[in-house]
Amino acid sequence: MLISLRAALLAAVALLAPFVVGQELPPQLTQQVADLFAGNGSVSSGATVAGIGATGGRHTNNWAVLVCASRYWFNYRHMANTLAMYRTIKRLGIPDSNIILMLADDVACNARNAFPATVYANAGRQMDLYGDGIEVDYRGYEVTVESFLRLLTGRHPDHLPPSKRLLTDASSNVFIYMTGHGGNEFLKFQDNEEVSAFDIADAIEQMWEKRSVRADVGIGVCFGTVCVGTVCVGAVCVALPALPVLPALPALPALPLLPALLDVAPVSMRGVASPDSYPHRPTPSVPLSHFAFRTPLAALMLYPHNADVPSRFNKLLYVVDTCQANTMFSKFYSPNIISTGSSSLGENSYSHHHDLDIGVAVIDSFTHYILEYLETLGKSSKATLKDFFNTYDPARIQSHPGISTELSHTPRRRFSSPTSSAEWPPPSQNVLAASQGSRAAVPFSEFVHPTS
Amino acid sequence: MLRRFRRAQPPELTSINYTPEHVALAKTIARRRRIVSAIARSIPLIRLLLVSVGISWLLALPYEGLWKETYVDEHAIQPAQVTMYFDWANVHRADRYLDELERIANATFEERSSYTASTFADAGLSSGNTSHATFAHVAPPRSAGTETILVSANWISRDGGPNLRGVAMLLALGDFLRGQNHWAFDFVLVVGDSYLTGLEDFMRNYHSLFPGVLWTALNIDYPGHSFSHLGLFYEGVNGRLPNQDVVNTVAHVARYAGGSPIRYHDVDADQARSGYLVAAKHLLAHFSFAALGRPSGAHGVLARHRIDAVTLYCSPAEGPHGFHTLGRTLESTLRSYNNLLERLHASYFFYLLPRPDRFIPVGHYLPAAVLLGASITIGGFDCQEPLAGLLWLVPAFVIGYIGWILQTPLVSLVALVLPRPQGNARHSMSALAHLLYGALIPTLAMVNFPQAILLATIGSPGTDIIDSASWRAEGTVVRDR
Repeated sequence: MLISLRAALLAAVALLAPFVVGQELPPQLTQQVADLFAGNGSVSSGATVAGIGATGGRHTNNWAVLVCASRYWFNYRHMANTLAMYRTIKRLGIPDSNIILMLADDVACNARNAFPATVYANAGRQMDLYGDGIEVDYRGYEVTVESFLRLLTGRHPDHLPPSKRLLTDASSNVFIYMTGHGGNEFLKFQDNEEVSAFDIADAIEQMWEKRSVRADVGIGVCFGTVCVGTVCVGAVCVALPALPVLPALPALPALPLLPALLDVAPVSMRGVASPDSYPHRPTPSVPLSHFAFRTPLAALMLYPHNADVPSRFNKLLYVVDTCQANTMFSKFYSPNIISTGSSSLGENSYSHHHDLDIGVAVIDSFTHYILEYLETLGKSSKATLKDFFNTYDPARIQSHPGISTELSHTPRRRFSSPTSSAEWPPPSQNVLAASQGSRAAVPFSEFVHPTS
Repeated sequence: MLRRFRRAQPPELTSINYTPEHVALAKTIARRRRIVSAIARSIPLIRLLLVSVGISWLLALPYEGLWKETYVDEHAIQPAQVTMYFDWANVHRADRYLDELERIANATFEERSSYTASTFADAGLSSGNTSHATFAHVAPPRSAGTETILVSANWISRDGGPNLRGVAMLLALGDFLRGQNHWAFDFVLVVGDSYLTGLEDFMRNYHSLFPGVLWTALNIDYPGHSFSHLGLFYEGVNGRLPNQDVVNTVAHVARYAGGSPIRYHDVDADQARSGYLVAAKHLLAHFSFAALGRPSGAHGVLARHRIDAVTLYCSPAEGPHGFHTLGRTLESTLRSYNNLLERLHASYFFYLLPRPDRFIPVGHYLPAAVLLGASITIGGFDCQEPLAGLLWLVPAFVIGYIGWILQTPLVSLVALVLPRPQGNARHSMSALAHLLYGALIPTLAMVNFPQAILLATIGSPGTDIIDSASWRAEGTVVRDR
């Protein structure tokens, strides 16, 4: 954890002042000290960051997750995409210990590779991306949908080594890059399974809502007068018939829930995806009477979340390069996510060029162009994401890349109900950077190296 | 129904005392008999209609409207995307091999076989013989050895002459493949005696010679001095076709990597003539092979083993292409085969090729056979006692079985001297034969369409109509009252 000099000085003064001065601190100093130790202090870099919102600038470290989800020789370019992105991320400052690299196949050692033990991302074979210094955390058949979702949510068996865990905390900015074959709201893993956009959205929501290990009774769903609740111990959640009355609970935290309780929409089970809870579905397809809370007794079975439990990320930058990639981030409903994808619904993402000696395509078009831009940045660059998105050129990329920043500072609604979806702006798919305004004016450096 | 209750006529005292149920039943029976006889009367018309639609569908096959454009379906193949290393030095070696082959062209099989085996051994490959073939096994350094690609060149070409340049090409290829590290498959290079027997003999005996499953193969047929077009022959024995990806890959590679244009069956697809006639010529060439189950090239004997293969026939000409073009085409095709991870399964197995770059999918040509088969089946419906002639079918089946054992169709001539049934048994046997034959045609058409069309034409309804007219004259069939 890095603490700025000013804050350190502040802390020192705050601690020593009573001994030195012998009188009370000025009130604003007291407040600043309290904020600092409560973790809500504005520890930010020199650049002004607009539109961060309630979460404040508590970014202290960066993590990256780079996933290549497809195997086989003719998907050489997906591995080259990922390794090129890996190299750029390392060059911009994230150390190997903070990068999780998942490669579904090893093309460098494939028998068809005329240049064994090398992977190139350009036709002239100028730079070997495989080289000596790469650390692949998940290799070959370890790259599965399950391992990816476990990585995001942190639900691992105890014996898994720390190098394979995403050890982020509430002040981590996470960069997720995924590439492979995909389609409308899915990404293909290893040619035999798929991860859907809903799964990733749920996993990221779990990253946001990550709570510590204790037994909870979660929120339940009522069907008529029969209600089912969840009890969770750590990572294991069990659905049980809920008791109609629970022991007396503190009323204060439950009050914000009451407007949602009287709402006719169902509330999702924690940890279980319920499509009707997604904010941007306009109306549920099931008759609302099925889910009406018939009795106020249902309110008593609810136990509130603790709003102060730390999450597993501060901000998330999600980049995806597949066919119809923009659909992959269309289902996110957690805050502080900026997403970008290579092509919109119904469009393919194309490879950029072939190497005739290797015999396959070596890089994808979208990744090629974003890396072309990222190579112009350095560790001390003050360029923002807005500048980054401004370089998108659909004509050169040969597809329409999408950007979504709607989730970047909108306050989270805990119980999203479909009937009030009009208040929840749906993330747009194809909006170019120019219309993003201030939300995208986030320095790219926030995602690649820690603040000073 | 209420009419029965409303009728208040008293029964006639002189007639039989029919109850209303009798009357209703009699009416039903009469109605059904009228329907059946109406259908029976129009059976010849229905059959004529089906046959004419079927034949016109066949005649419509060379028309562009039924075609689709070809494409390589298996994503792994990536045809013509790779640099080729086969070059003039390898061409020079092929020329030197050719000189030596021309000296031993008329020698015995043992002499020729020992020459080829020793040449392969000089190139560093492990070689051996079966009784009618010589082979060499190429084991690239990083290959797993679990799958193998077969490349063959037999001593006799498909037009009867010697295939010396084909064998020389194969020897040069063996020399070329050695030492390259980007192959994931093993290779086996086969030089078979005469046209088909050598390769067939190899296929019966190869299982113990090297590990590895054969998925794809190529056969080289290079009779002339040079060639202007590369002819593709793709029919296997019994009309079995390789996966269309093989044909499309070789066509694409030959055009873009080798530089030589492609023909199917060596038919000159000169654009100046009518497209319909050219397509009809292609289809007739295909039918002439597949209808009798003859392979169109030596690759055909591989079809029995589910190996997807084509023959590259260098149609003789004074033209610009020679070992260099052929070598590069072969190399690039083998590189595409090298990318495969599983058996070819993505593209079509049943198709007709009316022209390079176009194909007719099965759904567009199968209805013709179905209609012809249906017309024959319907001819078997009109029979009062269907089982009367059942036992007369047994001799026919026995003759067929004997013919299958002896592997000759001439046994069916015995049927001319067998006694024939008369009357109802004859009609019943004819109807049953129609039903069976008509069911055979569409089923066979799925597997071997030209053969099904041939059988449908032989069992043509023309003779049937004449036959049924003769029965009408005999009056043995009660049609209607």
